Amino acid sequence: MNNIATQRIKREFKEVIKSEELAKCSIKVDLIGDSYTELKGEIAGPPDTPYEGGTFFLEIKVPETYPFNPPKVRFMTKIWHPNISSVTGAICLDILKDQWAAAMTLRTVLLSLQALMAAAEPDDPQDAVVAKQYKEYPEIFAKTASHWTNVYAGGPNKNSDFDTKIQRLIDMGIERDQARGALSTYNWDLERATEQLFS
Amino acid sequence: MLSLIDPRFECSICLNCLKNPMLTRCGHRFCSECITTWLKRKSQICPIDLLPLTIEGLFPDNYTKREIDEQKVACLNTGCDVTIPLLEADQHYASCGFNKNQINGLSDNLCPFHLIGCKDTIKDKNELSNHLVMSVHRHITLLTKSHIDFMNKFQIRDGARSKALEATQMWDADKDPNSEKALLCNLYERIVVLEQSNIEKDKDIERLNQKNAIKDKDIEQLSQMVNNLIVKFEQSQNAMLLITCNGVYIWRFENFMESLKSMREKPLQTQYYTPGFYTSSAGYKVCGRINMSTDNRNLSLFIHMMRGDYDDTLIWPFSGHITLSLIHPTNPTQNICLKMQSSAESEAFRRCSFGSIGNEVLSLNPRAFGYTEFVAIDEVLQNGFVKNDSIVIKIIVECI
Repeated sequence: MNNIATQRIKREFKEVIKSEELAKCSIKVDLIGDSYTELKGEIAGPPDTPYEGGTFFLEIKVPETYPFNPPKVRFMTKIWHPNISSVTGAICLDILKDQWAAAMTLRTVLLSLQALMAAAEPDDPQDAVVAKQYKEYPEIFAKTASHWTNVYAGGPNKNSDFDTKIQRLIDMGIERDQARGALSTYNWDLERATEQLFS
Repeated sequence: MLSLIDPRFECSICLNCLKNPMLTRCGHRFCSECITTWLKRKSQICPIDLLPLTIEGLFPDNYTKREIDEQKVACLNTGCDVTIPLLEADQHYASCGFNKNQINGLSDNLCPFHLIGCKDTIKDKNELSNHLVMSVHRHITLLTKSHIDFMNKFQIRDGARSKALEATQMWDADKDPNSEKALLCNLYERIVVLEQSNIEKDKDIERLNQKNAIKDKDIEQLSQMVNNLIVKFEQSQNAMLLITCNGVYIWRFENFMESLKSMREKPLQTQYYTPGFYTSSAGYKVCGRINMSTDNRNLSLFIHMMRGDYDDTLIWPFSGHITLSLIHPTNPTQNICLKMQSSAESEAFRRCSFGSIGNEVLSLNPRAFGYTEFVAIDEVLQNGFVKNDSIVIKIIVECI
Protein backbone atom coordinates (compact mmCIF):
# COMPACT_ATOMS: atom_id res chain seq x y z
CA MET A 1 0.00 0.00 0.00
CA ASN A 2 1.25 3.41 -0.83
CA ASN A 3 2.97 5.30 1.90
CA ILE A 4 0.84 8.43 2.06
CA ALA A 5 -2.38 6.42 2.54
CA THR A 6 -0.88 4.39 5.41
CA GLN A 7 0.68 7.46 7.02
CA ARG A 8 -2.63 9.26 6.79
CA ILE A 9 -4.62 6.41 8.37
CA LYS A 10 -2.05 6.11 11.18
CA ARG A 11 -2.38 9.78 11.93
CA GLU A 12 -6.16 9.65 11.68
CA PHE A 13 -6.23 6.87 14.22
CA LYS A 14 -4.73 9.19 16.73
CA GLU A 15 -7.32 11.78 15.82
CA VAL A 16 -10.30 9.43 16.29
CA ILE A 17 -8.86 8.01 19.47
CA LYS A 18 -8.29 11.34 21.13
CA SER A 19 -11.51 12.90 19.89
CA GLU A 20 -14.46 13.77 22.10
CA GLU A 21 -16.86 11.55 20.21
CA LEU A 22 -15.03 8.50 21.49
CA ALA A 23 -15.47 9.71 25.05
CA LYS A 24 -19.20 9.85 24.41
CA CYS A 25 -18.97 6.37 22.82
CA SER A 26 -20.61 7.70 19.67
CA ILE A 27 -17.99 6.79 17.03
CA LYS A 28 -15.02 4.46 16.92
CA VAL A 29 -12.57 2.96 14.41
CA ASP A 30 -10.68 -0.32 14.80
CA LEU A 31 -7.97 -2.02 12.77
CA ILE A 32 -8.57 -5.41 11.20
CA GLY A 33 -5.24 -7.18 11.21
CA ASP A 34 -1.99 -5.28 10.57
CA SER A 35 -2.81 -3.68 7.25
CA TYR A 36 -4.30 -0.26 7.24
CA THR A 37 -6.44 -1.03 4.20
CA GLU A 38 -9.37 -2.61 6.03
CA LEU A 39 -10.93 -1.05 9.08
CA LYS A 40 -14.01 -1.52 11.22
CA GLY A 41 -16.13 1.50 12.12
CA GLU A 42 -18.70 1.79 14.84
CA ILE A 43 -21.48 4.37 15.16
CA ALA A 44 -23.98 4.76 17.99
CA GLY A 45 -27.53 5.41 16.81
CA PRO A 46 -28.19 9.13 17.26
CA PRO A 47 -30.57 10.11 20.10
CA ASP A 48 -34.24 10.94 19.33
CA THR A 49 -34.21 8.68 16.24
CA PRO A 50 -35.45 5.10 15.74
CA TYR A 51 -31.77 4.09 15.82
CA GLU A 52 -31.21 5.32 19.40
CA GLY A 53 -29.60 2.70 21.61
CA GLY A 54 -28.28 0.66 18.67
CA THR A 55 -24.66 0.09 17.72
CA PHE A 56 -23.95 -0.05 13.99
CA PHE A 57 -20.83 -1.61 12.54
CA LEU A 58 -19.28 -0.45 9.29
CA GLU A 59 -16.86 -1.99 6.84
CA ILE A 60 -14.29 0.59 5.75
CA LYS A 61 -11.93 -0.12 2.85
CA VAL A 62 -9.14 2.38 2.29
CA PRO A 63 -8.06 2.60 -1.37
CA GLU A 64 -4.39 3.01 -2.29
CA THR A 65 -5.20 6.44 -3.61
CA TYR A 66 -6.55 7.63 -0.26
CA PRO A 67 -6.99 10.50 0.66
CA PHE A 68 -7.32 11.60 -2.95
CA ASN A 69 -10.22 9.17 -3.34
CA PRO A 70 -12.85 8.44 -0.68
CA PRO A 71 -12.82 5.31 1.49
CA LYS A 72 -15.37 2.62 0.56
CA VAL A 73 -17.85 2.34 3.41
CA ARG A 74 -20.77 -0.07 3.91
CA PHE A 75 -23.03 -0.97 6.84
CA MET A 76 -22.32 -4.44 8.18
CA THR A 77 -25.20 -4.16 10.64
CA LYS A 78 -28.55 -4.42 8.90
CA ILE A 79 -30.44 -1.12 9.03
CA TRP A 80 -33.81 0.26 7.80
CA HIS A 81 -33.00 3.67 6.32
CA PRO A 82 -33.92 5.38 3.00
CA ASN A 83 -30.30 6.11 2.07
CA ILE A 84 -28.87 2.71 3.05
CA SER A 85 -29.63 -0.53 1.27
CA SER A 86 -31.59 -2.82 3.59
CA VAL A 87 -30.07 -5.80 1.73
CA THR A 88 -26.41 -4.94 1.09
CA GLY A 89 -25.75 -2.06 3.48
CA ALA A 90 -24.53 0.13 0.59
CA ILE A 91 -24.69 3.83 1.41
CA CYS A 92 -25.86 6.74 -0.70
CA LEU A 93 -23.94 9.74 0.62
CA ASP A 94 -22.45 12.45 -1.61
CA ILE A 95 -19.17 12.80 0.30
CA LEU A 96 -18.48 9.11 -0.29
CA LYS A 97 -18.83 9.76 -4.01
CA ASP A 98 -18.29 12.92 -6.00
CA GLN A 99 -18.33 15.36 -3.09
CA TRP A 100 -15.30 13.80 -1.40
CA ALA A 101 -12.47 16.20 -0.49
CA ALA A 102 -8.97 15.26 0.55
CA ALA A 103 -9.25 17.18 3.82
CA MET A 104 -12.05 14.88 5.03
CA THR A 105 -11.12 12.09 7.42
CA LEU A 106 -12.56 8.82 8.74
CA ARG A 107 -13.86 10.82 11.66
CA THR A 108 -15.76 13.29 9.47
CA VAL A 109 -17.12 10.40 7.39
CA LEU A 110 -18.46 8.63 10.47
CA LEU A 111 -19.94 11.84 11.84
CA SER A 112 -21.58 12.50 8.46
CA LEU A 113 -23.07 9.00 8.54
CA GLN A 114 -24.37 9.63 12.03
CA ALA A 115 -25.93 12.87 10.77
CA LEU A 116 -27.44 10.99 7.82
CA MET A 117 -29.04 8.55 10.26
CA ALA A 118 -30.58 11.49 12.10
CA ALA A 119 -31.75 13.25 8.93
CA ALA A 120 -32.53 10.99 5.98
CA GLU A 121 -32.75 12.32 2.44
CA PRO A 122 -35.65 10.35 0.91
CA ASP A 123 -35.40 12.28 -2.36
CA ASP A 124 -31.98 10.77 -3.07
CA PRO A 125 -32.65 7.21 -1.92
CA GLN A 126 -30.47 4.13 -1.94
CA ASP A 127 -33.38 1.88 -0.98
CA ALA A 128 -36.52 2.95 -2.88
CA VAL A 129 -38.82 0.71 -0.82
CA VAL A 130 -37.67 2.28 2.46
CA ALA A 131 -37.79 5.79 0.99
CA LYS A 132 -41.39 5.26 -0.16
CA GLN A 133 -42.44 4.07 3.30
CA TYR A 134 -40.54 6.95 4.91
CA LYS A 135 -42.54 9.44 2.84
CA GLU A 136 -45.96 7.78 2.83
CA TYR A 137 -46.16 6.05 6.21
CA PRO A 138 -43.70 7.86 8.52
CA GLU A 139 -45.12 6.14 11.61
CA ILE A 140 -44.71 2.64 10.19
CA PHE A 141 -41.23 3.63 9.02
CA ALA A 142 -40.24 4.74 12.53
CA LYS A 143 -41.57 1.52 14.06
CA THR A 144 -39.84 -0.64 11.44
CA ALA A 145 -36.50 1.17 11.81
CA SER A 146 -36.78 0.86 15.60
CA HIS A 147 -37.58 -2.85 15.27
CA TRP A 148 -34.57 -3.46 13.00
CA THR A 149 -32.39 -1.53 15.47
CA ASN A 150 -33.67 -3.80 18.24
CA VAL A 151 -33.06 -7.00 16.30
CA TYR A 152 -29.74 -6.26 14.55
CA ALA A 153 -28.10 -3.43 16.49
CA GLY A 154 -29.10 -4.23 20.07
CA GLY A 155 -31.64 -1.43 20.40
CA PRO A 156 -34.05 -1.40 23.36
CA ASN A 157 -37.47 -1.35 21.63
CA LYS A 158 -38.95 -4.81 21.27
CA ASN A 159 -42.06 -5.00 19.09
CA SER A 160 -44.07 -8.12 20.00
CA ASP A 161 -46.69 -7.40 17.35
CA PHE A 162 -44.03 -7.54 14.61
CA ASP A 163 -42.42 -10.58 16.23
CA THR A 164 -45.75 -12.44 16.12
CA LYS A 165 -46.21 -11.71 12.45
CA ILE A 166 -42.66 -12.84 11.67
CA GLN A 167 -43.25 -16.05 13.66
CA ARG A 168 -46.35 -16.74 11.55
CA LEU A 169 -44.25 -16.64 8.38
CA ILE A 170 -41.50 -18.73 9.98
CA ASP A 171 -44.15 -21.29 10.79
CA MET A 172 -44.93 -21.40 7.10
CA GLY A 173 -41.30 -22.30 6.45
CA ILE A 174 -39.90 -18.86 5.63
CA GLU A 175 -36.42 -17.92 6.85
CA ARG A 176 -36.49 -15.28 9.65
CA ASP A 177 -34.62 -12.40 7.94
CA GLN A 178 -36.51 -12.98 4.72
CA ALA A 179 -39.80 -12.86 6.63
CA ARG A 180 -38.81 -9.62 8.34
CA GLY A 181 -37.72 -8.10 5.02
CA ALA A 182 -40.99 -8.97 3.30
CA LEU A 183 -43.16 -7.72 6.16
CA SER A 184 -41.16 -4.47 6.39
CA THR A 185 -41.51 -3.97 2.64
CA TYR A 186 -45.31 -4.45 2.74
CA ASN A 187 -45.84 -2.19 5.76
CA TRP A 188 -46.44 -5.25 8.02
CA ASP A 189 -49.43 -6.35 5.97
CA LEU A 190 -49.19 -10.11 6.64
CA GLU A 191 -51.42 -11.08 3.74
CA ARG A 192 -49.52 -9.13 1.12
CA ALA A 193 -46.15 -10.27 2.45
CA THR A 194 -47.31 -13.89 2.32
CA GLU A 195 -48.66 -13.44 -1.17
CA GLN A 196 -45.33 -11.99 -2.35
CA LEU A 197 -43.26 -14.72 -0.68
CA PHE A 198 -45.26 -17.56 -2.17
CA SER A 199 -45.92 -16.14 -5.61
CA MET B 1 5.71 7.14 17.74
CA LEU B 2 4.18 10.08 15.96
CA SER B 3 5.07 13.59 16.94
CA LEU B 4 2.46 16.18 17.81
CA ILE B 5 2.35 18.93 15.23
CA ASP B 6 1.12 22.45 15.74
CA PRO B 7 -2.16 22.54 13.70
CA ARG B 8 -0.81 25.58 11.87
CA PHE B 9 1.93 23.45 10.35
CA GLU B 10 -0.27 20.47 9.51
CA CYS B 11 -1.26 19.61 5.94
CA SER B 12 -4.95 18.61 5.88
CA ILE B 13 -4.29 16.12 3.12
CA CYS B 14 -1.44 14.02 4.51
CA LEU B 15 -2.01 15.20 8.10
CA ASN B 16 1.75 15.56 8.25
CA CYS B 17 4.04 18.51 8.74
CA LEU B 18 3.82 20.88 5.75
CA LYS B 19 6.50 20.10 3.18
CA ASN B 20 7.15 22.97 0.75
CA PRO B 21 3.99 24.69 1.94
CA MET B 22 1.72 26.19 -0.72
CA LEU B 23 -0.90 28.82 0.10
CA THR B 24 -4.19 28.71 -1.81
CA ARG B 25 -6.22 31.67 -2.99
CA CYS B 26 -8.77 30.79 -0.32
CA GLY B 27 -6.10 30.92 2.39
CA HIS B 28 -5.33 27.25 3.14
CA ARG B 29 -1.92 25.61 3.33
CA PHE B 30 -0.98 22.22 1.94
CA CYS B 31 2.20 20.39 1.01
CA SER B 32 3.14 21.23 -2.54
CA GLU B 33 2.99 17.56 -3.57
CA CYS B 34 -0.32 16.83 -1.78
CA ILE B 35 -2.28 19.73 -3.27
CA THR B 36 -0.92 19.28 -6.80
CA THR B 37 -1.78 15.56 -6.69
CA TRP B 38 -5.30 16.44 -5.49
CA LEU B 39 -5.86 19.07 -8.17
CA LYS B 40 -4.65 16.70 -10.88
CA ARG B 41 -6.91 13.86 -9.73
CA LYS B 42 -10.20 15.46 -8.79
CA SER B 43 -12.41 18.33 -9.77
CA GLN B 44 -10.65 21.60 -9.27
CA ILE B 45 -11.75 22.56 -5.77
CA CYS B 46 -10.08 23.33 -2.45
CA PRO B 47 -10.21 20.17 -0.26
CA ILE B 48 -11.21 22.25 2.77
CA ASP B 49 -13.86 24.75 1.71
CA LEU B 50 -14.69 23.23 -1.72
CA LEU B 51 -14.22 26.60 -3.46
CA PRO B 52 -12.98 26.46 -7.06
CA LEU B 53 -9.18 26.18 -7.16
CA THR B 54 -6.59 25.55 -9.87
CA ILE B 55 -2.83 25.12 -9.89
CA GLU B 56 -2.60 28.81 -10.83
CA GLY B 57 -4.28 29.66 -7.52
CA LEU B 58 -1.33 28.30 -5.50
CA PHE B 59 1.61 30.27 -4.16
CA PRO B 60 4.70 29.03 -2.31
CA ASP B 61 4.38 30.10 1.33
CA ASN B 62 8.01 30.73 2.20
CA TYR B 63 7.15 32.50 5.43
CA THR B 64 5.58 29.35 6.87
CA LYS B 65 8.37 27.26 5.37
CA ARG B 66 10.95 29.29 7.31
CA GLU B 67 8.85 29.03 10.47
CA ILE B 68 8.69 25.24 10.13
CA ASP B 69 12.41 25.03 9.44
CA GLU B 70 13.01 26.72 12.77
CA GLN B 71 10.84 24.25 14.72
CA LYS B 72 12.70 21.59 16.70
CA VAL B 73 11.19 18.71 18.64
CA ALA B 74 12.62 16.30 21.17
CA CYS B 75 12.44 12.58 20.40
CA LEU B 76 9.71 11.00 22.53
CA ASN B 77 11.49 7.67 22.89
CA THR B 78 12.85 6.97 26.38
CA GLY B 79 16.60 6.86 26.37
CA CYS B 80 16.97 9.03 23.26
CA ASP B 81 17.59 12.69 24.03
CA VAL B 82 18.06 13.94 20.48
CA THR B 83 16.44 17.17 19.34
CA ILE B 84 15.49 17.08 15.68
CA PRO B 85 14.02 19.51 13.18
CA LEU B 86 10.24 19.05 12.93
CA LEU B 87 10.40 18.08 9.27
CA GLU B 88 12.81 15.25 9.96
CA ALA B 89 10.89 13.89 12.93
CA ASP B 90 9.24 11.03 11.06
CA GLN B 91 12.50 10.06 9.43
CA HIS B 92 14.16 10.02 12.83
CA TYR B 93 11.46 7.89 14.43
CA ALA B 94 11.74 5.40 11.62
CA SER B 95 15.41 4.81 12.45
CA CYS B 96 15.66 5.84 16.12
CA GLY B 97 17.70 3.27 18.02
CA PHE B 98 15.47 3.66 21.07
CA ASN B 99 12.36 2.82 19.13
CA LYS B 100 10.46 0.11 20.96
CA ASN B 101 9.18 -1.38 17.74
CA GLN B 102 12.70 -1.58 16.39
CA ILE B 103 14.02 -3.46 19.42
CA ASN B 104 11.15 -5.92 19.66
CA GLY B 105 10.57 -6.10 15.95
CA LEU B 106 12.44 -7.73 13.13
CA SER B 107 15.56 -5.53 13.13
CA ASP B 108 17.73 -8.50 14.14
CA ASN B 109 18.21 -7.10 17.68
CA LEU B 110 21.20 -5.15 16.53
CA CYS B 111 22.92 -2.32 18.36
CA PRO B 112 21.79 1.04 16.83
CA PHE B 113 25.47 1.57 15.95
CA HIS B 114 25.57 -1.56 13.80
CA LEU B 115 25.76 0.55 10.68
CA ILE B 116 29.19 1.79 11.67
CA GLY B 117 30.49 -1.59 12.77
CA CYS B 118 29.22 -2.50 16.31
CA LYS B 119 28.49 -6.22 16.11
CA ASP B 120 26.75 -6.63 19.49
CA THR B 121 23.18 -7.98 19.69
CA ILE B 122 20.65 -6.77 22.25
CA LYS B 123 17.72 -8.70 23.75
CA ASP B 124 15.62 -5.95 25.38
CA LYS B 125 15.40 -2.30 26.34
CA ASN B 126 17.34 -2.69 29.59
CA GLU B 127 20.20 -4.50 27.87
CA LEU B 128 20.25 -1.78 25.21
CA SER B 129 20.60 0.97 27.85
CA ASN B 130 23.40 -0.98 29.50
CA HIS B 131 25.14 -1.62 26.20
CA LEU B 132 24.94 2.05 25.20
CA VAL B 133 26.41 3.16 28.53
CA MET B 134 29.16 0.53 28.57
CA SER B 135 30.26 0.88 24.99
CA VAL B 136 30.39 4.67 24.71
CA HIS B 137 34.11 4.63 24.07
CA ARG B 138 33.93 1.96 21.41
CA HIS B 139 31.02 3.71 19.68
CA ILE B 140 32.89 7.02 19.61
CA THR B 141 35.93 5.32 18.08
CA LEU B 142 33.74 3.70 15.43
CA LEU B 143 32.04 7.04 14.74
CA THR B 144 35.34 8.86 14.32
CA LYS B 145 36.62 6.14 12.02
CA SER B 146 33.55 6.18 9.81
CA HIS B 147 33.63 9.97 9.75
CA ILE B 148 37.23 9.99 8.54
CA ASP B 149 36.41 7.35 5.92
CA PHE B 150 33.49 9.42 4.73
CA MET B 151 35.54 12.61 4.53
CA ASN B 152 38.25 10.83 2.53
CA LYS B 153 35.74 9.50 0.04
CA PHE B 154 34.18 12.92 -0.30
CA GLN B 155 37.52 14.61 -0.93
CA ILE B 156 38.60 12.16 -3.61
CA ARG B 157 35.31 12.59 -5.42
CA ASP B 158 35.06 16.33 -5.06
CA GLY B 159 38.77 17.19 -4.96
CA ALA B 160 38.79 19.07 -8.23
CA ARG B 161 35.73 21.07 -7.39
CA SER B 162 36.92 22.08 -3.92
CA LYS B 163 40.24 23.27 -5.40
CA ALA B 164 38.42 25.42 -7.90
CA LEU B 165 36.33 26.82 -5.08
CA GLU B 166 39.44 27.63 -3.08
CA ALA B 167 40.95 29.39 -6.06
CA THR B 168 37.94 31.62 -6.56
CA GLN B 169 37.91 32.55 -2.94
CA MET B 170 41.60 33.45 -3.07
CA TRP B 171 41.38 35.56 -6.16
CA ASP B 172 38.11 37.20 -5.51
CA ALA B 173 37.69 37.34 -1.77
CA ASP B 174 34.60 39.52 -1.91
CA LYS B 175 32.70 37.18 -4.13
CA ASP B 176 31.14 34.60 -1.89
CA PRO B 177 29.53 31.92 -4.06
CA ASN B 178 26.82 31.54 -1.44
CA SER B 179 25.76 35.14 -1.79
CA GLU B 180 24.67 34.50 -5.38
CA LYS B 181 22.44 31.73 -4.21
CA ALA B 182 21.11 33.95 -1.43
CA LEU B 183 20.49 36.67 -3.96
CA LEU B 184 18.60 34.28 -6.23
CA CYS B 185 16.55 33.12 -3.27
CA ASN B 186 15.72 36.69 -2.33
CA LEU B 187 14.82 37.54 -5.91
CA TYR B 188 12.57 34.52 -6.17
CA GLU B 189 10.73 35.44 -3.02
CA ARG B 190 10.41 38.98 -4.24
CA ILE B 191 8.93 37.77 -7.54
CA VAL B 192 6.34 35.73 -5.69
CA VAL B 193 5.36 38.72 -3.56
CA LEU B 194 5.18 40.94 -6.63
CA GLU B 195 3.08 38.39 -8.50
CA GLN B 196 0.65 38.25 -5.64
CA SER B 197 0.35 42.01 -5.43
CA ASN B 198 0.05 42.10 -9.22
CA ILE B 199 -2.96 39.78 -9.08
CA GLU B 200 -4.54 42.00 -6.44
CA LYS B 201 -3.88 45.07 -8.56
CA ASP B 202 -5.46 43.38 -11.59
CA LYS B 203 -8.55 42.72 -9.53
CA ASP B 204 -8.64 46.36 -8.38
CA ILE B 205 -8.40 47.56 -11.97
CA GLU B 206 -11.17 45.23 -13.04
CA ARG B 207 -13.38 46.57 -10.24
CA LEU B 208 -12.60 50.18 -11.22
CA ASN B 209 -13.36 49.44 -14.87
CA GLN B 210 -16.70 48.00 -13.92
CA LYS B 211 -17.48 51.06 -11.81
CA ASN B 212 -16.46 53.33 -14.70
CA ALA B 213 -18.70 51.49 -17.14
CA ILE B 214 -21.65 52.01 -14.79
CA LYS B 215 -20.80 55.71 -14.45
CA ASP B 216 -20.53 56.07 -18.24
CA LYS B 217 -23.94 54.56 -18.64
CA ASP B 218 -25.36 56.95 -16.04
CA ILE B 219 -23.83 59.92 -17.85
CA GLU B 220 -25.28 58.75 -21.16
CA GLN B 221 -28.72 58.44 -19.63
CA LEU B 222 -28.45 61.86 -17.99
CA SER B 223 -27.37 63.59 -21.22
CA GLN B 224 -30.25 61.88 -23.02
CA MET B 225 -32.60 63.25 -20.37
CA VAL B 226 -31.11 66.73 -20.71
CA ASN B 227 -31.56 66.61 -24.51
CA ASN B 228 -35.17 65.55 -24.12
CA LEU B 229 -35.74 68.35 -21.65
CA ILE B 230 -34.20 70.90 -24.02
CA VAL B 231 -36.48 69.74 -26.85
CA LYS B 232 -39.49 69.89 -24.55
CA PHE B 233 -38.45 73.28 -23.28
CA GLU B 234 -38.11 74.65 -26.82
CA GLN B 235 -41.48 73.23 -27.74
CA SER B 236 -43.17 74.78 -24.73
CA GLN B 237 -41.32 78.05 -25.30
CA ASN B 238 -42.62 78.17 -28.85
CA ALA B 239 -46.09 77.36 -27.61
CA MET B 240 -45.79 80.14 -25.02
CA LEU B 241 -44.66 82.56 -27.71
CA LEU B 242 -47.76 81.79 -29.73
CA ILE B 243 -49.92 82.57 -26.70
CA THR B 244 -48.09 85.70 -25.58
CA CYS B 245 -47.42 87.31 -28.97
CA ASN B 246 -50.40 89.71 -28.51
CA GLY B 247 -51.70 89.08 -31.99
CA VAL B 248 -48.43 89.90 -33.75
CA TYR B 249 -46.94 87.07 -35.76
CA ILE B 250 -43.75 87.35 -37.78
CA TRP B 251 -43.83 84.69 -40.44
CA ARG B 252 -40.41 83.86 -41.75
CA PHE B 253 -41.28 81.80 -44.82
CA GLU B 254 -38.13 79.79 -45.50
CA ASN B 255 -37.30 77.66 -48.51
CA PHE B 256 -39.52 80.05 -50.49
CA MET B 257 -38.51 79.22 -54.10
CA GLU B 258 -39.25 75.53 -53.75
CA SER B 259 -42.55 76.21 -51.97
CA LEU B 260 -43.42 78.70 -54.70
CA LYS B 261 -42.81 76.05 -57.30
CA SER B 262 -45.19 73.58 -55.68
CA MET B 263 -47.77 76.36 -55.12
CA ARG B 264 -47.60 77.26 -58.81
CA GLU B 265 -48.02 73.67 -59.90
CA LYS B 266 -51.29 73.41 -57.96
CA PRO B 267 -52.66 76.87 -57.29
CA LEU B 268 -55.28 77.00 -54.49
CA GLN B 269 -54.59 73.40 -53.50
CA THR B 270 -51.07 73.89 -52.16
CA GLN B 271 -51.45 76.08 -49.12
CA TYR B 272 -49.07 77.00 -46.31
CA TYR B 273 -50.27 77.89 -42.79
CA THR B 274 -48.72 79.56 -39.79
CA PRO B 275 -49.18 77.85 -36.43
CA GLY B 276 -52.19 79.14 -34.49
CA PHE B 277 -51.45 82.21 -32.36
CA TYR B 278 -53.53 84.23 -29.92
CA THR B 279 -54.60 87.86 -30.22
CA SER B 280 -53.84 88.22 -26.50
CA SER B 281 -53.46 85.77 -23.66
CA ALA B 282 -56.93 84.22 -23.29
CA GLY B 283 -57.85 85.81 -26.64
CA TYR B 284 -58.87 84.64 -30.11
CA LYS B 285 -56.79 81.99 -31.88
CA VAL B 286 -55.95 82.73 -35.49
CA CYS B 287 -53.55 81.59 -38.19
CA GLY B 288 -52.24 82.91 -41.48
CA ARG B 289 -52.41 81.17 -44.86
CA ILE B 290 -50.57 81.66 -48.12
CA ASN B 291 -51.14 80.18 -51.60
CA MET B 292 -51.17 81.13 -55.30
CA SER B 293 -54.21 82.73 -56.84
CA THR B 294 -56.15 80.89 -59.56
CA ASP B 295 -54.51 82.91 -62.34
CA ASN B 296 -51.17 81.81 -60.94
CA ARG B 297 -49.85 85.36 -60.93
CA ASN B 298 -50.59 86.62 -57.44
CA LEU B 299 -49.83 85.49 -53.91
CA SER B 300 -52.98 85.18 -51.77
CA LEU B 301 -52.76 85.95 -48.06
CA PHE B 302 -55.57 85.16 -45.58
CA ILE B 303 -56.45 84.90 -41.92
CA HIS B 304 -58.41 81.97 -40.48
CA MET B 305 -60.19 81.98 -37.13
CA MET B 306 -59.18 78.84 -35.27
CA ARG B 307 -60.70 76.81 -32.48
CA GLY B 308 -59.02 78.20 -29.35
CA ASP B 309 -58.91 77.30 -25.70
CA TYR B 310 -60.84 80.41 -24.60
CA ASP B 311 -63.55 80.54 -27.28
CA ASP B 312 -66.24 80.05 -24.59
CA THR B 313 -65.27 83.27 -22.85
CA LEU B 314 -65.07 85.50 -25.93
CA ILE B 315 -67.57 87.65 -27.85
CA TRP B 316 -68.48 86.37 -31.30
CA PRO B 317 -68.18 87.16 -34.12
CA PHE B 318 -64.66 88.51 -33.83
CA SER B 319 -64.36 92.23 -34.20
CA GLY B 320 -61.11 94.06 -34.85
CA HIS B 321 -58.36 95.15 -37.24
CA ILE B 322 -56.16 92.92 -39.24
CA THR B 323 -52.90 94.15 -40.75
CA LEU B 324 -51.04 92.04 -43.31
CA SER B 325 -47.56 93.16 -44.40
CA LEU B 326 -44.89 91.80 -46.68
CA ILE B 327 -41.62 93.07 -45.23
CA HIS B 328 -38.82 94.21 -47.51
CA PRO B 329 -35.53 92.91 -46.13
CA THR B 330 -33.52 96.12 -46.78
CA ASN B 331 -35.88 98.99 -47.56
CA PRO B 332 -38.81 99.50 -45.13
CA THR B 333 -40.43 102.03 -47.51
CA GLN B 334 -41.08 99.26 -49.99
CA ASN B 335 -43.00 97.20 -47.40
CA ILE B 336 -46.44 96.19 -48.66
CA CYS B 337 -48.93 96.81 -45.85
CA LEU B 338 -52.69 96.30 -46.03
CA LYS B 339 -55.09 96.90 -43.13
CA MET B 340 -58.63 95.47 -42.91
CA GLN B 341 -61.60 95.88 -40.62
CA SER B 342 -63.55 92.77 -39.56
CA SER B 343 -67.12 92.56 -40.73
CA ALA B 344 -69.90 91.15 -38.59
CA GLU B 345 -71.61 89.65 -41.61
CA SER B 346 -68.69 87.54 -42.80
CA GLU B 347 -68.76 83.86 -42.01
CA ALA B 348 -65.02 84.08 -41.55
CA PHE B 349 -65.27 85.75 -38.14
CA ARG B 350 -67.70 83.28 -36.63
CA ARG B 351 -66.69 80.90 -33.97
CA CYS B 352 -65.12 77.75 -35.35
CA SER B 353 -67.44 74.88 -34.51
CA PHE B 354 -66.73 71.21 -34.16
CA GLY B 355 -67.57 68.81 -36.90
CA SER B 356 -67.62 71.48 -39.59
CA ILE B 357 -66.46 70.61 -43.08
CA GLY B 358 -63.26 72.44 -42.36
CA ASN B 359 -59.77 71.08 -42.05
CA GLU B 360 -59.96 68.65 -39.15
CA VAL B 361 -56.24 68.71 -38.43
CA LEU B 362 -55.95 72.45 -38.07
CA SER B 363 -59.48 72.77 -36.70
CA LEU B 364 -59.99 76.16 -38.20
CA ASN B 365 -62.83 78.07 -39.72
CA PRO B 366 -62.97 77.02 -43.42
CA ARG B 367 -63.87 80.54 -44.41
CA ALA B 368 -60.84 82.81 -44.59
CA PHE B 369 -60.56 86.58 -44.70
CA GLY B 370 -57.87 88.41 -46.65
CA TYR B 371 -56.64 89.11 -50.16
CA THR B 372 -56.76 86.74 -53.13
CA GLU B 373 -54.37 89.07 -54.91
CA PHE B 374 -52.23 90.35 -52.09
CA VAL B 375 -49.16 90.91 -54.22
CA ALA B 376 -48.11 89.99 -57.76
CA ILE B 377 -45.53 87.25 -57.67
CA ASP B 378 -43.38 89.10 -60.21
CA GLU B 379 -43.18 92.06 -57.85
CA VAL B 380 -42.05 89.80 -55.01
CA LEU B 381 -39.34 88.23 -57.08
CA GLN B 382 -38.14 91.39 -58.89
CA ASN B 383 -38.22 93.90 -56.06
CA GLY B 384 -35.93 91.91 -53.81
CA PHE B 385 -38.37 90.66 -51.21
CA VAL B 386 -36.70 87.25 -51.31
CA LYS B 387 -33.53 87.11 -49.28
CA ASN B 388 -31.70 83.92 -48.36
CA ASP B 389 -34.55 82.02 -50.02
CA SER B 390 -37.10 83.41 -47.56
CA ILE B 391 -39.72 86.14 -47.33
CA VAL B 392 -41.03 87.77 -44.17
CA ILE B 393 -44.72 88.37 -43.57
CA LYS B 394 -46.01 90.25 -40.55
CA ILE B 395 -49.54 89.60 -39.35
CA ILE B 396 -51.16 91.82 -36.72
CA VAL B 397 -54.60 90.95 -35.35
CA GLU B 398 -56.07 93.46 -32.89
CA CYS B 399 -59.40 93.22 -31.08
CA ILE B 400 -61.67 96.18 -30.62
